[in-house]
Amino acid sequence: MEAADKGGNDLITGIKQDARAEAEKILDDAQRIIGERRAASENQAEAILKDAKKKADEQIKAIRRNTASAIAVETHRISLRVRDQIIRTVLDRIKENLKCMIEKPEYRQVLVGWIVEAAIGLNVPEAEVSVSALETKAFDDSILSEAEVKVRELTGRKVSLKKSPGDPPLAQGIVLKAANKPIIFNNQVQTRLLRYQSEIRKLIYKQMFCD
Amino acid sequence: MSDSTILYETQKKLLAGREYIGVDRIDGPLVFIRKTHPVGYRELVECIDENGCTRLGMVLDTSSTIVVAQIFGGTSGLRMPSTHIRFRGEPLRIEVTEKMLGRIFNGLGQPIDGGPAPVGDEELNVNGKPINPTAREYPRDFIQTGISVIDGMNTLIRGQKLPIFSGNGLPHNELAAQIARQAKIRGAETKFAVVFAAMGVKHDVARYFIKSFEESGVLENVALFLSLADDPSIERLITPRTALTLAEYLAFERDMHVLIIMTDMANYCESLREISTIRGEIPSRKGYPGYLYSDLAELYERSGMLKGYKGSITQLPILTMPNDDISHPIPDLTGYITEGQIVFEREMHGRGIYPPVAGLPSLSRLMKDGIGKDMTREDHPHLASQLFAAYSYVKDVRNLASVIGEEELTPLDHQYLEFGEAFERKFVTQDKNENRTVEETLNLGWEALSLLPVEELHRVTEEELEKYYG
Amino acid sequence: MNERIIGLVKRVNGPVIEAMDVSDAMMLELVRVGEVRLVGEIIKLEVESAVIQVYEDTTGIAPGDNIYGSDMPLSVELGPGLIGTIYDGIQRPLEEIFKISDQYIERGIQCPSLDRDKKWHFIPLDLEAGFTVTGSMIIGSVQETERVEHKILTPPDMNGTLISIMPEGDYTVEEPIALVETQSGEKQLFLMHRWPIRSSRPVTERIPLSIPLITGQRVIDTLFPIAKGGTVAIPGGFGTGKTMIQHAIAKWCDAAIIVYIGCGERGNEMTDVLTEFPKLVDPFTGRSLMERTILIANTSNMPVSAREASIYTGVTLAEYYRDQGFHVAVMADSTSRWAEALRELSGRMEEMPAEEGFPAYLPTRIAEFYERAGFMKTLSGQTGSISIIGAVSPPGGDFSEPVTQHTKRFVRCFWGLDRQLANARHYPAISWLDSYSEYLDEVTPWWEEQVGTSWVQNRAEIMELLQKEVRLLQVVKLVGPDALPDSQRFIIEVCTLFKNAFLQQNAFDDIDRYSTTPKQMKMMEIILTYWRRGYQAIRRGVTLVKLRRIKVLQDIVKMKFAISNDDLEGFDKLNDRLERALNQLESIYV
Repeated sequence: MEAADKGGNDLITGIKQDARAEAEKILDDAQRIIGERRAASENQAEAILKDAKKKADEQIKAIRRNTASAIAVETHRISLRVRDQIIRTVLDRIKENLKCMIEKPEYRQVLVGWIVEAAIGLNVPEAEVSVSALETKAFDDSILSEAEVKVRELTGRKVSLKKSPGDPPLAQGIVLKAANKPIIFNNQVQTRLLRYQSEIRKLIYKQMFCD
Repeated sequence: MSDSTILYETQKKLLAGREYIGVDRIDGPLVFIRKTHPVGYRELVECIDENGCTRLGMVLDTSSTIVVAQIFGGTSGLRMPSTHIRFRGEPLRIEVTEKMLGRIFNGLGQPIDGGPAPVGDEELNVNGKPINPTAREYPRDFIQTGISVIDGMNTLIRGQKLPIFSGNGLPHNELAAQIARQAKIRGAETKFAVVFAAMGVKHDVARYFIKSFEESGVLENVALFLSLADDPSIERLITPRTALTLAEYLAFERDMHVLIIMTDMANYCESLREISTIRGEIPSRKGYPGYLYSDLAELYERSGMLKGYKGSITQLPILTMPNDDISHPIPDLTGYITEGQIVFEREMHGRGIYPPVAGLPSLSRLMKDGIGKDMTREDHPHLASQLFAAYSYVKDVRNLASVIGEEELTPLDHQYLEFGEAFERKFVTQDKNENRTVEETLNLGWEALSLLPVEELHRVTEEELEKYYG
Repeated sequence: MNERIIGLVKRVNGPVIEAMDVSDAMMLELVRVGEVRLVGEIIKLEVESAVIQVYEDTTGIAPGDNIYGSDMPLSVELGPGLIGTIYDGIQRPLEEIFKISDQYIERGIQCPSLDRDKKWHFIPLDLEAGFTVTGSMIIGSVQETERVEHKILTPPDMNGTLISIMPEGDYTVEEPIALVETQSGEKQLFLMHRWPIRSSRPVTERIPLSIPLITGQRVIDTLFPIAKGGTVAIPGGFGTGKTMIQHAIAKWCDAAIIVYIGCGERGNEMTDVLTEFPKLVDPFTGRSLMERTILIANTSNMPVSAREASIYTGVTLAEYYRDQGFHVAVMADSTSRWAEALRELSGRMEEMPAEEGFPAYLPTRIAEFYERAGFMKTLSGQTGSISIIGAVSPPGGDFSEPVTQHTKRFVRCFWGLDRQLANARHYPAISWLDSYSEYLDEVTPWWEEQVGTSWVQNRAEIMELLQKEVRLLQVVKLVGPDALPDSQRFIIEVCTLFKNAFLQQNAFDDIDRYSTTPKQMKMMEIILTYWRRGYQAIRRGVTLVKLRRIKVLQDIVKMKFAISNDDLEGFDKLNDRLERALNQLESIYV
């Protein structure tokens, strides 16, 4: 019995010891895991913090960049608008100046030039010329005959020009219409400016914004 | 010059002031004018409506009896008797200058940003001229886009024309914008510019690009040519030509490296078809004209590098494939001209993969000469080839799995499936703002390959395996 | 410059011009249009009117512009100086044009095709006065490049008696080298003469084909060979590698002269050839590849009508070298662009279209072009050949479209490119199922004599396996690989090995890019050894897994890279190792 008892005691002690050892191990493990967890969560927190900071930094940078770029874009836009305005003003001035010229005696030659140009471009034997109401004062048949002669001198072609019977147009300048064909040559100031706009713009740029 | 030639020249110039009153027929964007003076083929046309507004156009067919012109501004509102037509005696030209960067234009190169028209340093014919093949320099400089699936598998080379074949609703705009933001040549500080040509795209798409350029602070290096969805469809035909003319000027006269984004080429082709149909031309496939190939080539071939010039033109056309069909004439003919293609796959997009670049049909033809030792990294060519091979096998396995079920697959095939997943999720997928170096890209490639047994990797060398595998 | 005005422009519609008031013009006459003098050709003549196809951009040409005649058909200049040159579709030298007009090709440029100032050292044949001179007769020679001895030929339509011939010395192409009495009077002969591109140069007779054109590409030489003088079509969608194959053949095939026609393709591809070829060395002569190459470049952005002419220009140059007794290979990339150019011009002329807008005469034109190939006995008694390798770019990769279908009727060899293979980066992507070669019987005797008697059986055996594999793969698709017995799975195994180790060829690898016929033969034998012995082993009970694990297999897969053309012993050793490994495996199961 004793032996058995002893055996039983041994067994119990053994079990106890095992249990204790196991409990210790579990405890250790738990502690270790807790430690790891804590470290991990600390790490994680740190990482999150770092991440957040990095993101915030990036955002700040992005915002700064955006603002800078927005400012640049806006400045650019404003300067463009200003330039456009300047060019318009200059063009308006040119038109104004041309209008003032109507009163001057030299204007007659200007008109002859425009008519000759239009007559050559139109290249028809007969054409009607119209001018705006403003210019009718400066405009007479002698201008037409002078233009006829010039055309003949330049091209050797005969052209007969006469005043258009219709209502005078509003815009300054002349319009030639072929007598029996649906062709015209528009030499009004507006159209001429359009035709030479790239040269005019170049000139304005050169004088005003030298960049 | 003799007097008679001066006279001839003056007369010719003055012909440009002639106006023909009334047109004989209007059909869609085409006007027909009878009894004109001899008008040159492809001459510039000015069409003046009754309000005095001028619309530009181009002569498409000329004969002694009748002239046919297409009006880029469209013909809506024109009346036959009161329309005036002028023939300018020269083809459409635009003034070009560096100062066009930072500006917004319409398809004809007229400013629409409130500013004045820029004064050009030169005036160039928008139709361009064919580049002499002997003048070309073969492109071989690697452009890092920061996007793995491009840098790693379909490398973009400076001077290449690489289109994006996409579909409606796929993120092609995002990818193009990302490339424009991130693209750089390694170790080189060079003048760069972006030229953006929009054809028939919506306002918000144009807005998206402008905003993206604005935010990344590159807007002053970008010139935009916008012919949007509500602009006359015919203007789209001239838009890419105008944009390319500026690009050529910047690249070959101003030594810049130009990236040109053209979107959406499908809209361009539709406009071409529209004109062709109205003219009663014999169509080839799907109603597109027989010259669609030549016409597209005229655009796409205006890219590359030239001997003795520092600049380059890299083209990134975007096209949405009608019905996602890659054999549709538009992507098909484009693919025959461009140097590869980046193909989007709707199924990948559905699975949330960005960029949804299909691995197998995508291709960069110029890649072989721009990667490897001293350019990217020595393992790049073999690695890319191995990834292609493995991914191609993944596709087979997936097909097989869909028939016989995944359980029936061999263990090796399972490994391939895992590789495929990793490849798509880690290598291909990236954030819209993520800018990866090519080394990062290649390392990610090796990471994916490490899921496969070493015996399967036939296309890489022992040394590369030693150095990068596992 | 000939200032004879033959008519006026009436209508301009792209590259097609209608002319009025036409007098004294001849069909297919070369003309110049307008004051910029654009090159054109009369393609239709009626009473007082004509249709002209213009080879340059017609922007700015207006009704009433003059049309100038030239009195001759659109021709090419034939003489020394062609080799190594890059021409556009109407034989204008692009490098000279580059010197004149910089990076862009200006319109109306006139530039002689052959250098007028360069002196060539002419060595006459020993001919005496009174000698009967006939067409395409050799009267002397010029060393054109170090590898090409250029024979100086009389024009093919020449008949008469020799009056005198100049002594050996240096001459330009325009200095007379001989004088001949003909029916129409005395005629001077030069180092060069002209020939119209649309007529084929006459020959004595066609000779049956018997010699393969060795390309160094294994899938071609071994599976689908082409004979010298033969014709082949390579159809394939974009990205399937048509151009890569054309380049590879142009580089490594054993023709003496290569004419490479880039017809409506990418500009950079021609640049690639221009930069790469001079650096590459021909395996047969050790000379630069450019010393045997003529390039015709009409890239896709050049005028479409010159694209139509480029094919004829190229093949006429080829005929000229064939008449000198050379074997010439013509690469036409791509004939579809040529056919499309025909379609576009036909449309502009408002002709009645046949299928898909192509003109009804498309098949005739395709046939005419391919008929200019052949193995010929020339008028001077030499033999020479022209082999034509034409790429076809079917829309959407669909082989049922008209150009592919008609081409198929007129070629005897077909290398169909497969999208699936290309996607898997299996290059060359020549499909072993769609492709065929009718030259197999013709070239078999050559292989048996030159390489080995077992060639034909070996090839048949491998083809049979590839066919079987297709059926087996269908089964696998339905029920998975495990359902097949080892003996059948082994077929799939061997075919995979054959594809990886043999059919795939890396054009950029220094060793693999070119395989000699003995190397091809050895490689095929090693793979067949694996098949034959492996099959036996399986019947004896060896499992597939064991067969797969043989270590030497790894070396077989890499043998194409590892063992060079000269090292045939290397293959024998590899074969021995394979046999030993199999012996060992079998010995366990005996």
